[in-house]
Amino acid sequence: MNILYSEIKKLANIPDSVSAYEFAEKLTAHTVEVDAVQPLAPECSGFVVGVIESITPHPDADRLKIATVNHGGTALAQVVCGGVNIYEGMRVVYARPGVKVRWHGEGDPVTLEPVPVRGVMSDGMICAANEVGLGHLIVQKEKEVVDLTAWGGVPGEDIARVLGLDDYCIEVDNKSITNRPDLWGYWGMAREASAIFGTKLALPEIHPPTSGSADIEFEVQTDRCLAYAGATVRCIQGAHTPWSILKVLAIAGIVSRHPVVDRANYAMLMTGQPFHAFDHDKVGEKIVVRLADKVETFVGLDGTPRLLEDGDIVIANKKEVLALAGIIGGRESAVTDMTTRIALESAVFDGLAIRKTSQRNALRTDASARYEKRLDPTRTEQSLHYLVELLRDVVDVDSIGITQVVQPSVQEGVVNVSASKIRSMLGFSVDHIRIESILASLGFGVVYDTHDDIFQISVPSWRATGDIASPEDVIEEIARMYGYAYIQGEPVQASAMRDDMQRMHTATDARKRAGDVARALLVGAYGAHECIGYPFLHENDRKKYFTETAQAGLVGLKNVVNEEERYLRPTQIFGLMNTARERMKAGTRKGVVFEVGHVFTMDHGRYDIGGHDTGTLPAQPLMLTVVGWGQESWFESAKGFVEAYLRALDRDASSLEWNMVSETSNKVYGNQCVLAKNHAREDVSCMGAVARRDGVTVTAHMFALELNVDTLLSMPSMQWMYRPGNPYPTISLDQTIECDQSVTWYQVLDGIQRVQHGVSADDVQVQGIYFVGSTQVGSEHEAATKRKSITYRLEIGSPFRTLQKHEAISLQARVRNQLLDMFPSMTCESMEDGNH
Amino acid sequence: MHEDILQGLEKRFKEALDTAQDAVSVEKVRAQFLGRSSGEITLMLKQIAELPLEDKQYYGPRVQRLKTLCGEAVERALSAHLTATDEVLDPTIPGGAPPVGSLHPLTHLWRDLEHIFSRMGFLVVDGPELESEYYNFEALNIPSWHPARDMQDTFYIDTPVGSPRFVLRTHTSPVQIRAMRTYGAPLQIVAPGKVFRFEATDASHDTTFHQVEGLVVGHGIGLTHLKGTIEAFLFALWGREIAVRLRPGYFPFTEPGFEIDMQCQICGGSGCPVCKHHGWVEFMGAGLVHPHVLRAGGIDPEHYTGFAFGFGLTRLALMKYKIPDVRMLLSNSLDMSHQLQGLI
Repeated sequence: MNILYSEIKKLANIPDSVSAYEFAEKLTAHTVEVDAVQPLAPECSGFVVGVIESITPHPDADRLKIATVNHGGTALAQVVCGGVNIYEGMRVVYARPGVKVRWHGEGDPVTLEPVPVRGVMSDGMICAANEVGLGHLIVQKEKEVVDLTAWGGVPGEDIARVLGLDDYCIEVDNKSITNRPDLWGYWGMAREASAIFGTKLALPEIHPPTSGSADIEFEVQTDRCLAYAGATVRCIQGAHTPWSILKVLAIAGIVSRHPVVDRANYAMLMTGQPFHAFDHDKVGEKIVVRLADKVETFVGLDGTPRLLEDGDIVIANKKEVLALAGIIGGRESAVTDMTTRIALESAVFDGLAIRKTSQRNALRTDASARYEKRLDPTRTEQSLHYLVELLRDVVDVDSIGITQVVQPSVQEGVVNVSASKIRSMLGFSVDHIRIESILASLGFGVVYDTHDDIFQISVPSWRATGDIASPEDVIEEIARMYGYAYIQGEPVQASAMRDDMQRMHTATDARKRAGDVARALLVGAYGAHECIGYPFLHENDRKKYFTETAQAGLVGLKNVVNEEERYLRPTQIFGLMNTARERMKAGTRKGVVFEVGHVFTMDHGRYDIGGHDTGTLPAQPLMLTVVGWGQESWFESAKGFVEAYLRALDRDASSLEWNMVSETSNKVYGNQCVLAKNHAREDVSCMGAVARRDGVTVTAHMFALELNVDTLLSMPSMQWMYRPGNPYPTISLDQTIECDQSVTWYQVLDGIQRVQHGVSADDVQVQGIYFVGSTQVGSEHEAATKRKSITYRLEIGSPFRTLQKHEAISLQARVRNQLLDMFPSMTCESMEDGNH
Repeated sequence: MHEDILQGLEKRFKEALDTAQDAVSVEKVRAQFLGRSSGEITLMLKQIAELPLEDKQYYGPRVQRLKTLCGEAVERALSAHLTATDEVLDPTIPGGAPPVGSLHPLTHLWRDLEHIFSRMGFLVVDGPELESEYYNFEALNIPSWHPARDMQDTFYIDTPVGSPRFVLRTHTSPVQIRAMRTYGAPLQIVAPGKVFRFEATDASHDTTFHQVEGLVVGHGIGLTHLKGTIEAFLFALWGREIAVRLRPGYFPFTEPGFEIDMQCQICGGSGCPVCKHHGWVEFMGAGLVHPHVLRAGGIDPEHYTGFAFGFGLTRLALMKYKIPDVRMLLSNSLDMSHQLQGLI
């Protein structure tokens, strides 16, 4: 909300010594945030009042005239002027040579010099509003210059003085007055200002006019209209709106329309109470306030037809809807230059109803913004009286009629606050006399009970619509007027962590640690770069990679900023793949990127919905996602990372069950995709080679790996404990077997363990896996023709003695026989062995 | 390929290794036989692919084995030679950087904040990014009719009509309620995390950014504690005394509510374009916890009071690292990764 400083100064009796900037600083410190303080006419210096003495035609140009201007100097100035509205005796804005002017209101200001215009010397310039930086205050037609006649002023007088432009616009942040309906008007602001500066508030005195009833019947049929007062007036001809009002309207962004409407808007800006003006002749003899029927339509002042709904409050006559109450008037009943009789409305409507209608129609107006904050309903009549007072010189005084239709029910709130409560919330004590004077200055009634040390506070009506209802609300008033600057900080003493908190915190802590460990491992051991992404799934990826069934599990958005981002990401892969592709394009041949973050699916999650709903929020597990590119043998690296990560988190990697899968919920992976499940058969990790854009799977191209931190953490901890080392040297045996591709390493390991009990997976190390033979296309035994060769090293030893070579050789033979038993098509070869 | 070629190769390797007198010569032997592109054994391995099936099956494992053995022999020879050297060390040569990656700038700051608040006795907690309307608004004293709902442009989740409404949380404040319900009072928590706003993006606004929420609930917690705690936090964060300014601000979940400004760290408070010549920059919203909010968290406001604060981790990152455009943070540019490489 923009406020003219001079007005507030007058209303609150602020001394001249207080600058607009100082005022803004104090207002920010005690009441609301001031976004900016703007001088009213920053460019308007050096311009003076000129009076046109005579006008003659320009010899060489039809559209130009030569004016002689009295500008208070010793001689008249001869000025060539194109203004279409000039006349002899007109007071104009005259710019002397040497002054900076913005040509036609555009571009940078240039210094004016005496120059010939079409052969005639022009000594200075007669200016239009935007040429002197007043375009925002004075609205004029094309090719017109400013007509100052109405303002007076002597030739040569600075126009800033004549127009009262030595003033400032105080821009208050609207968000900071969301909870203060009383501050949506100058009077409320002035009350705050006088409380801050300790000055006497000087609001205009309002006397109920001696008048008859309004010349129209009002009927209020809904209790969503909390107060209603109406008036009728007859306009007089030739009325205009004075500059003092225009200035206030202009900085509020309100366009001048009609002398009566302008005053109604001005009165709203002053009191905070919105008014509406109807053309009485178009309304008829009766105005009804009621709720809309479903079928009704309505065309507002803005020309937009709107369909009304149940619950919309409307102002109507017998035939039709005249206005959307508290939001916008109708086109048909609007006041125009032709209007002679006007019906005025001063009402308070239910804030929630106004807000609903305004939101549904995406229509916010000066009125609706005020109503939805819940206005004081007790001031409709008083405010109307003020407006009528303002109208006295533009209406026929005898024609004024006023009717109070709905008397608001007055509910003055009373709040009791104990001094000890005040002391405890502030952290220090404030003298009770100070408290009383602060509250009184803001319009509160205070009775201090010394015996019980309790303040009994009555809340003024303008603060009683929801703003001030509890002791805390009152304490805020005391604290902010006392001044937050005087508060001495005292850090809170860390309270000891309670036992139950510690226990409940374990899971949160574990998740946090899982993230930290992933970062340390990936950044330290893999040179990976961490990324943090947006929560959205790009439409291209959704359409390309998700089957119809998978799409049903996606979480969609109701409102989108970007049409390409309509769903939440069910995986972090795509963001990382984009990053990877960008880096590949930039010439980074290999790399790893990762993200630790949340993804979203329609499954049931672990968080409750709260309120009256018993369900849970959609699942949003914490995922660790890794994308690598340019890596050879992606699977070994990916699986190796998962195992190392589990080890780092003290989870048993050997309990994971690894399987190839043919189908995943997204189609990112080509034909190599592996899923790891935990002991409870929950998915822990999914990994695969990413198909190239052309659909071909190339292992060195790119791979992705996803880990669900929650299912990973649900795996049992390994609990490392010290094991005594083997004092005797071990023997290592190398063996190479060649078998069908379908034989898995686990099966081989199983065979070895059957021969030698107590051999753990760690004792048998794969040295190399190697494929032999070539696939014969079309062969029935396709899979069988390509064979796999595995070389492994078996490390054996005894805790009691050094094993003999023959024992090792015998073991080798037994393993070979066992494996041949299990896989008849296998060949096996034992290599050298050696003592270590 | 013949068996004798294989044996010849092995023999030549052993001779070469035997004659190598120092580490450099050993490395030469390694290159000759095991070099990545033209080592003799490497080349032989490559040839195997072209052999007929039977030969492949026979020679494949053998050559592989030879490679392993030779590799081990080279390592042994190297370690024998590395003990003594007559090379002159040039200490000014560039160091070989270990393959360390980078953490996201927000993670750096996040971690700093966690450490600071942990030291101050705060528990670090988390909450869901996709929230219910109840936790994001209602429980925080923002009923559906309240104009304050407009203060935060909200992403709504597409749920069937009549079912509970979900949002992408617009602030980290719902964690206040969840934490109070989980842990009860007294309580001291911080909750950093992602938040979302339904608004057009520019250099200082993004749909997704990070906030940190703080909440202290206890007996006799008041304004002085709030101010003192923020001052202590800022001192720890910047490593020096930072002046703060409290002024009235409105948040439905606090009463009273404040905006807290901190002294501009660019100009030191004397006024510059960053602080719009005020000497102060807006840093956080804060206040004493509204009794309705305590009640929603299952805590009796008659017995406990509290204060809460929230600030932009993203904003702080922009300020601290002088990043000119907020959108750079979640676009994960290579440029930023490079600059951060090794900072872990």
